Amino acid sequence: MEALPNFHLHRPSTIEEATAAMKAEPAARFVAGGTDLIVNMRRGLVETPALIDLNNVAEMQDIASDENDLIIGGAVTLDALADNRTVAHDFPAIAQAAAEVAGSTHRNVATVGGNLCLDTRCIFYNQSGWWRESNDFCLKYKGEICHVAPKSKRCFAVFSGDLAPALLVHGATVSIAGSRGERQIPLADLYRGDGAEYLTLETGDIVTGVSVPKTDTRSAYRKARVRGAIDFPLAGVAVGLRITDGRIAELRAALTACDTKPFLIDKLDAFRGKSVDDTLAQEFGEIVRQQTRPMRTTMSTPWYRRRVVARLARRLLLELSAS
Amino acid sequence: MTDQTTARHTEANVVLRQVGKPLERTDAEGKATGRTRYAGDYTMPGMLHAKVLRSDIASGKLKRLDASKARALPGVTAILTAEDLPDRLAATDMPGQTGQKRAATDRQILVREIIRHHGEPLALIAAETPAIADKAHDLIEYEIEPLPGVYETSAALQAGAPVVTEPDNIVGEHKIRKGDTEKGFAEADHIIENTFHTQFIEHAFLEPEVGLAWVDENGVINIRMSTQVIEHFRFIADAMGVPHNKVRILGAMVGGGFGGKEDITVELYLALLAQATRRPVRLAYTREDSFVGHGKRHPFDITHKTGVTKDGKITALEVTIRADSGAYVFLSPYVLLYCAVAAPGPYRIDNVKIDSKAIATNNMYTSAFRGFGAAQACVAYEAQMDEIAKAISIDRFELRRHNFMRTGDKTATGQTVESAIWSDKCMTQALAALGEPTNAEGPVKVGRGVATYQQSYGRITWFHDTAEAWVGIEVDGTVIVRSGVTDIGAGQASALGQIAAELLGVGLDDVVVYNSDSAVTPLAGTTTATRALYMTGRAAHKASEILRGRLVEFAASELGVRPEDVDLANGQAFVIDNPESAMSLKDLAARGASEGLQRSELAMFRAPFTDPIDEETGQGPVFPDFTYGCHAVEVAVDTETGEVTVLKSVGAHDIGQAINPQAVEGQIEGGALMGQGYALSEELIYQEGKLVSPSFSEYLIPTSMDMPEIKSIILESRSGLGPFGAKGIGEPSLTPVAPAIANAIADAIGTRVFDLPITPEKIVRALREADENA
Ligand SMILES: Cc1cc2nc3c(=O)[nH]c(=O)nc-3n(C[C@H](O)[C@H](O)[C@H](O)COP(=O)(O)OP(=O)(O)OC[C@H]3O[C@@H](n4cnc5c(N)ncnc54)[C@H](O)[C@@H]3O)c2cc1C
Ligand code: SF4
Repeated sequence: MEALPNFHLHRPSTIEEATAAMKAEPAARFVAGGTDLIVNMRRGLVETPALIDLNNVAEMQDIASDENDLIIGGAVTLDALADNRTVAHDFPAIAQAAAEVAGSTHRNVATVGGNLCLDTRCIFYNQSGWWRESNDFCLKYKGEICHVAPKSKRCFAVFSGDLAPALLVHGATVSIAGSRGERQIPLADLYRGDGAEYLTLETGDIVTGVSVPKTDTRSAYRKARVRGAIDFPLAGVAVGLRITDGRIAELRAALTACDTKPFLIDKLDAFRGKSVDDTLAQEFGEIVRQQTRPMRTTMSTPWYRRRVVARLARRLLLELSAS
Repeated sequence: MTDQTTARHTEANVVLRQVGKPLERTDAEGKATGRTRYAGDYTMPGMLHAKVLRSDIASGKLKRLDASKARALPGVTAILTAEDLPDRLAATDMPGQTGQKRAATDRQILVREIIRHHGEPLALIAAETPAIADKAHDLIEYEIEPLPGVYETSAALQAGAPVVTEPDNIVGEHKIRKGDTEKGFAEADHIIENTFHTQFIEHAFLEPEVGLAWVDENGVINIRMSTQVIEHFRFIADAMGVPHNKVRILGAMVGGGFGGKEDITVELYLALLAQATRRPVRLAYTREDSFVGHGKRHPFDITHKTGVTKDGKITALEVTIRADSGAYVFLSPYVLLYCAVAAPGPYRIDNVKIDSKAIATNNMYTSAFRGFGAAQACVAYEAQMDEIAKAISIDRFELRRHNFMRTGDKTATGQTVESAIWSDKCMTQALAALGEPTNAEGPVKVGRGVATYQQSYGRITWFHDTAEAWVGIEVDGTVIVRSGVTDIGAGQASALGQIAAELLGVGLDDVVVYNSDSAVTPLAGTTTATRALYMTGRAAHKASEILRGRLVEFAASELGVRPEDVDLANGQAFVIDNPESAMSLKDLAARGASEGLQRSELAMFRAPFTDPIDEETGQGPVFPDFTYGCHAVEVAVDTETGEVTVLKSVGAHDIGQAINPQAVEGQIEGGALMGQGYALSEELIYQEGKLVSPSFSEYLIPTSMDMPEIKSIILESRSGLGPFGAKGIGEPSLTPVAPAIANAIADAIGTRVFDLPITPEKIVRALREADENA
């Protein structure tokens, strides 16, 4: 780890000020908890003259509810999210995922916006400058080739945020403020599916919050990990289940740490109207496995990540149907 | 969570007033309040900042190194390359106390031509600020021609393999021959053979290597640094070409060592830069420097072939051992010896044949690590015991009981163990402390495992190890202890205070310990090899006892009784049968001073001295003595994800005598967690010799969330060679933990992972293989 480079710090207190600050200094970067960005700055992965701190932006601080939606401010900390009663009760996967991120000191400052926008990861990328230079860098940053897939013109660095899959199974949309004004997009559309340019955000766009529709979806999140804290998911899965009259009304699953983006599993409509049993859960796991194609971007192998994510999905479904 | 009620088993009728009590250590308050100064906390006016430029590949030829641009950068004071250090080499051998000729294992200080490992230093930089040093680092131009390297021990032994160490990449070899293994196997009903593999690991101390050096008005190079071994001043002087008395190493409280600060680290670079610039120079390793800059724990391949009768008596044992010693020799031959000697475990086996080799590769060099080869040996022999039990369907604890050595038995090298061997007691108590089994549910399986061990304390006896300590009483009755011992966080200094307090009849509060200064404190030898308490404790004990004798004699004449009637306690000298008749130590010391009583003593303790063992048979004594004990764990394994949770962890060790039981618990708890990382998650991954996990994001040490309830059971046979019959606990507390966890996992899932670390992925694979075979 290298020394933290110098930078200016702006501390806007409204979204408008934040966007204006960015307009004035387009090479600046937003920072929230800094638990991802600062690490990357010290490693020379992010070079920027200025940071715009979103922690004081008033409009982004609250967890609120209206008639239809739960609204989570972009600067809400993961601790606050995990500890929120409504979230824990009505959107359990979201609270569980928030509580599983990194370690307790990280969650104290890490934010929802930061977790959704966190940089993708790869063993050839999350290294010091000295280390990366010895490989002539790589496609994602400063280099010409990808060391994971040398023939590829595309980067496969993996998205490993815990929160996104939980929000995806709850059908979340994100609110974005930027130079073009405000807009709302489904969370899935925040991600491009490219390890290098992983977000669809444009320069100056801020994720101001997330809206999650209130439904009677039961949900749960699990990540495979080696240790009890700090670890990014080796693979993570959220499952959302709506049961009507003992039968599946809706089944959703979303994965993280298996691709350059978090994603919803396809082809689950076929389960509608069926009741959950071991065989069905097995089939469900198999569908999850088939749609999972991780690359060798982490220390654990694609084989394991596929296998474990399918097993966890199956288990979560059984647990949810029994609850 | 930690169980604070320590079960202690002390023999009756020994009155100790200070020793054996969980006194607040002399270093506790400073650490708790943040006042303790570590080596990195020292600065000096006009200080320069250093940085090391390292090779980014493992095997190559340095074709060009051009520092001219860096030298021209304003604020750069010095850049040293091999050209600036003609003909100088640095020792990698064991730091001796004796002046014995060292092994021919010196290495280049900076790369002159051939690069042998990833991270090998190319140049040293000193600049006015850390940022300028960083910039200079990036401005040094170099060209490295990659050379074919060798990264597997098996490849390194093949004909035509690149030669990393002349002549044949074999840097160490030891044999042990006892009895007749052919006969032993003939007597066996079963022969069980397995190979176990251990991985490269990192010490991962909290405090990366750091130091500050300056040349003083006498021309002495002073180095204030974080080290386990201030005696390296000799090697530094040799490497600099100056007399030994012109280099001084001052330690500071060390933020963890575990063997990783046993070899030379920053001190040589600091000395060279301080000498070249004549200014104070500070060098603080980054975590990445630390990962690539110091020697690692050796990976071993250990094959056990064991002959056993149907009722579980081991009749013969053949062990083949291979260690990866990496690119430079360092302590590999000794680590290998420890492994070979430890290979049979705490078991009495009459027919033994052990062959071991340490082999050079272009991986990072490997050297000391808590447990020093004996830990790897335990990973193999204790897993093998469970495999034997399984193969012949016999209770694994009974199998151990059947074969445990007893006091008076001989080790595989023919050394008679005269101290207590309480393996059985320790195992029984550790198992009992696990309590009721935890219920298993669904895909989660629960299992239990133990590992027992035999681990030496004290150095190899042909090193003729000695330690010195000075103890004095001031005219106001307070006590000073001086000893060179480095305190690496285990309370090494405080223990000396407690020993002096015991013998001189004062409280620990009345003692101040000065330690870790090669010029001023009497040299005590390294804080390694579980020898610090044993050796310096005995030296302090000896000095205190001599001083006590003088005080008692003087008090007796003052009190008009015989010396044998006088005792010292509570700051007083008193008549044993008539405690009213007493005088304070303060008066005693002051009276003594005015009468010319010598109020201090410098004592040397000598460990047993022997000649080296026989090269062909390995027969002869190797160590002063051994610690015995057991670690027991209960684990839960998720058979679908392969995730392991350690539920309970118990260390039961006969440590002879606890000087400070709280410090002993600290060792047992620390060992338990460190061993857990070794078993489950820690591994340095090298690809073509290049470390791909030089940070804590990929190198996974256990977190506080992974810490189970740890129970420490301290047994005290008072049979050790240390002060008051103490043995040692520093290394022993770690040694059995990883194999106990491996055995518990095997117990839980019914199949074994033979190579550490036992990651979730390996468990899932092993289960799938077992399924396919079933
Ligand atoms: C040791 C360690 C372990 C970790 N483990 C995990 C883990 O297990 N799971 C996990 O998910 N993450 C983990 N992380 C990553 C990180 O801590 C979390 O993802 C965290 O939630 C990031 O939030 P932050 O507020 O700190 O983001 P920051 O670091 O402040 O920002 C991250 C990125 O998002 C951008 N950004 C931040 N907020 C906004 C916004 N409102 N709008 C637009 N862009 C924004 C920033 O510009 C930056 O590019 C770990 C990090 C560390 C250092
Ligand atoms: S996937 Fe390829 S391009 Fe992307 S970070 Fe890894 S090595 Fe670089």
